[in-house]
Formats: sequence, structure tokens, C-alpha cells
Amino acid sequence: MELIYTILEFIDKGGWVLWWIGLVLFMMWTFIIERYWYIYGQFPKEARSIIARWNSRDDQTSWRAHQIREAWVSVAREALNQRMLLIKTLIAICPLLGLLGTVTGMISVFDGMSGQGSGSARQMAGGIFQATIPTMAGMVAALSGIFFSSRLEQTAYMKTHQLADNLPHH
Amino acid sequence: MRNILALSLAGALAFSVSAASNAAESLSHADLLKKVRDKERIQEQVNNQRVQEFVRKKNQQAELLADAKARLAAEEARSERLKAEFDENEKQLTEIAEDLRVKQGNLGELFGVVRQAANGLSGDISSSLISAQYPGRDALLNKLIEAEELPKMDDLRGFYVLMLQELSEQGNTASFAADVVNEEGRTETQTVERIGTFNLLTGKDYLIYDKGQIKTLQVQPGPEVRDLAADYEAANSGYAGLYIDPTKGGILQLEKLKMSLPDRLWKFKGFAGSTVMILLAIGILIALERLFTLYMVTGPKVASQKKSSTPGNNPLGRVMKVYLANKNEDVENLELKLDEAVLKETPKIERGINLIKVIAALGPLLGLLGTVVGMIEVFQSITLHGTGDPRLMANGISQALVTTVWGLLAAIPLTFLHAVVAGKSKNIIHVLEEQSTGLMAQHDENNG
Repeated sequence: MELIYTILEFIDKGGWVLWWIGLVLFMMWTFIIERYWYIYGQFPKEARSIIARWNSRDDQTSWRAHQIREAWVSVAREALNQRMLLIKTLIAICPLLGLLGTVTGMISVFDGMSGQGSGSARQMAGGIFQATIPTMAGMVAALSGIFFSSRLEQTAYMKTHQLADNLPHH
Repeated sequence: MRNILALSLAGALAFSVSAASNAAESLSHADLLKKVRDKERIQEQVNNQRVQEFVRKKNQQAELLADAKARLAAEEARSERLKAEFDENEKQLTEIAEDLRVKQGNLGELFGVVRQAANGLSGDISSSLISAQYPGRDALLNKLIEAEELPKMDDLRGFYVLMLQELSEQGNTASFAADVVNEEGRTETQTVERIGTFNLLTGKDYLIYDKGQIKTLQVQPGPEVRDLAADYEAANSGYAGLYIDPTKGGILQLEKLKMSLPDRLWKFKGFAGSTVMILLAIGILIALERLFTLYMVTGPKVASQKKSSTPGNNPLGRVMKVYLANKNEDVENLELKLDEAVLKETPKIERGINLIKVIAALGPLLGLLGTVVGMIEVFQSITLHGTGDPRLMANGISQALVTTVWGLLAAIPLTFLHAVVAGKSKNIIHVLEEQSTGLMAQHDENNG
């Protein structure tokens, strides 16, 4: 409960853009977790079945066999890399959203200043402090995803190669 | 005329004298002497009489003079007396005034203090929301401010009761019936809720108190503020949250000037905003077309083609046809033909996707351009007109920033759409480039 209140208070300070950043963050992490689940939970089983199918083939040397092997590897690679682009895009969107929040915040700060006609630096600093919160949130959201997405990419690349290595052709 | 009369009179006298002398001619000298003596005697008698008369009159005048002198003296004496009396009175008056001043002493100071305090409070009271609940409170204050004499005890008592009322009511919320001028300018009686000196509410509407009238605020604050007000009105016990205006109406009045973000986006879009808007529309149209083609037409067709060995009219089917036609040629030739077939298919699938990406990248750049141009205008006008008015600058900057928002608003959805569309197209192209040959080989194997 306490945590929810803290988050709500934070969102209240930063403005409506934080909801969007939160949504993007949620989607991003859903996809990242799904990827981890697939790569470490599902893929080994699929890899084993592909290897078994390959090993059970009589013909492993002809041009046709090579093409089939390549197609299998490609399908596996695609399965591993699915939604990876989307994750990366969501990571790229986070700072953009943050920037959007900051710019709209700045607009309201300057609008407030022009309405009240006060050049109070204190007031302006308060407004700008609030306006920069979305950028910070966007950065943190992007950073939280960047490490895992690059790890995932690396892992997918390795897994593909491991699979290819495990399908020997002569 | 008188002269003529006198002359004729003298003539008559001379005539009578000559007539007498004529008559006297006949009289004896002794008679004449006697007559003359008689006449002389009579004359003397007359003269004596006249002298006596004169003397009498003279005495009378002297008497009058003496009388007048006596009167003058009397009046002078009276004047003297009155003057003395006046001086005496004057002195007495000064003494009494001095006495009054001394006796008034601290009370006089009190008068000034009361006046000052009443003056100070008058502004607060007339604009205070508590006056909305208790109208006519400023009458007493005005009386105290304009009074020329020492305030009466009753007024003083009323004054401090007023101050106490203002103090204690500040901490209270109250509900009362009052006349409210609504947005159309009609007056109707409504139940008004007062929160301290901060806000007046009726239902979920915020009211303002202006020159003795309760008015409905023409532009109400946002729904989250008003919903909370409605919750507050509905609450019967415990605590309920509520937005209050600590400036006693100032912030609420600003609502009128405030423009919502969509309004602002529309009003200050400028050339950059318009361009970005057009680009955004183009980008979304392209993306929609691509989404439809890839997810509804090409994608499903390719997916079903994967399972079937008879080539249909779709990208994979067309590649398959080339394979089937050149199946019996040597491997290198076959591969070349297949590559050619795939190369023919890819542009159709990838068409427009890079354009989406370019537009997504253009958005923020154009927005930034608009903002920079706006800023240049702002600062140029400040340089030219030399005003140090922060209002003007702030207004200009807030307008200039709008185009950046436009750029970002275009970039974010287009980036996302690009990712979705590009993912799908890459998927299909992989099928064509890497898996098509394998798939066909598999079909061949399965068919024998």
C-alpha cells in the first residue's frame, strides 16, 4: 500500500506522461520476461527436438539437406529473436516520452509565469523541477531495459550458433 | 421768487412809512416821540423775549449734550464689561478643552487605533468569503472609518466581535443558503458550502465571491478537482479530501486564462507543427496500409503456403514456382534463379517501411526547428523593444515549445508503428530468403 502511494505521489508530481512511461515500461518488461521464459524454458526443448530430428535423418549431406538444415536454424533464430525489435523500440520510446513530459511541463511553467507575470526564480525552479521528472523517469525506464535487452540479444545469438553447431553436416 | 416777494414786501413797507409820514404830518411831535418811545419799548420787550428764548434753548441743548455724554459713558462701560466677560469665557473655554484633552488621554489614541484597524480589516472583510455567509458586515467598519468623533462603546464591541468572527470562521466549514449568480447571469438561491476562507462550493461547482456577489466560476477546474469536490459534498462523516485555493480565488480565476494542452497544440502549431501534422498523417496512413497488407494479406498467405506444396499467387508461391520450374538444373544455377526471385519479391514487402522511420526521425527535428525559430523571434523582439518583462518572454517560450511537442507526438507513435511493421516484414523476408529453399526441399522429400 505504502509503495502504491509513493508511486501515485510520484506520478502526481510528474504529470500524465508518467502513466504512458509506466505503460511502456510494463509492456517492455512483459516482453523481456516472456523472452527469458522462452529462451531458458521453451527453447532448449525445441532445440533438442530439432537435433533429434536431424540426427534421425538418413541424408545429412546433400544440397537439399543443407537447405533444410538452414531453414530449421532460421526458424529457430526467428523464434529466438521475436519481439526483440519491439523491445528495443519501447526502450527508445521511453526517453522520447520523458522528453514530451518535460516539454509539456515546461510549457505549463512558462505559461504560468506569463499568466501571473512574476519572474520569481523560486517558482520557476519548482516548476522546472517537476517538469524534469518525466525525463528522469524515461531515462531510468530505458536504462532498466537496455541491459537486459542486449543480454537477450547476445543470448539469442549464442543459442542460434549452438543449435547450428549441434546439427553436424558432412 | 423769494427775492421778488421780499422786494415787493419792502416796497409795501416804504409805502406805508411814507403814508404814515404823510399822516404824521398831521400829528404833533410829542405824539410822534411818544409813539417812537412806545415802539422802542415794544421792540425792547420783543428783544428781551427773544434773548430769553435763546437762553432757554441754549440751556436745553446743554442738557441734551450732557445727557448724550452720560449715555456714551454708560455704553462704553458696558462694552468694557462685556469684553472682560468674553475674555474670561475664552480663558475658561481653553481650560475646559485642555481639561478634555487630558481626560481623553489614552482614549484619543484608541480612536486612531480603531480607525486604523478598521481600515486594515475593511479590505479583508469585504473580500472575505465569510462575508458571503454574513452579508452587510462592512457597514460597521465603514461607520468606524468615517466617524469624526470617538466611537461608541457598542460599535467598539461590534468591531471586536467582527474580528473574532472572522478568526473563528476561518477554521470552520459551513453550509448556508445564498443567492448565486449563475453563468447565464440569473440569480438563484442555492445551498453554498464554505471551506474556511478559501473556497465556496455548490454541488461540484466552484464559486467565487466578487464585490458582494457570489458567482459561479465560468471556467471550472478539471474533472479530478471537481469529482473530489462532489465526493466532499456527499461525505457525511469522517474526513474527505478536497482541493482548496489558498489564494482565496486567485488560482481559480486563472483557470479562465489557462488553455488546455490540445487547444494550445492547435493554436500555436506554426509552420513546423503543421508540417509535422501532415507528415504524421502520411506516416500513419502508410503504416496502416502496411499493417493491413502484412498482417491480413501477405502474412497469412505466406503462412498457409508454407504448409502446402502447390504454389499459389503469393510471394512464397512465386518463389516456389521458380524452384519447381528449375528443379532439375544444377545447384548453382538454381540458387541464382531463386535469389533473383526473392529479390523481386522483397521491395513489395519492404515498401514504405523506411519512409515511416524517416518521418519518425524528422518529427523531433522539425519540432526542434520550430522551437528554435520561435525562440529566435522571442529574443529578437525583446532585443528590439527592450522590455525586460518576464511575462512576454515566458509567453513566447511557452508558445515556441509547442512545436517540439508536435514533433515528439509524431515521433512516438510512428517509431512504435515502424517497429511493429518492420518486425512483420522482416519475418516474411526471412521466410523468403532463408527458409523458402528449405521448405521446398522438405515438400519434395515428403512427396517422395
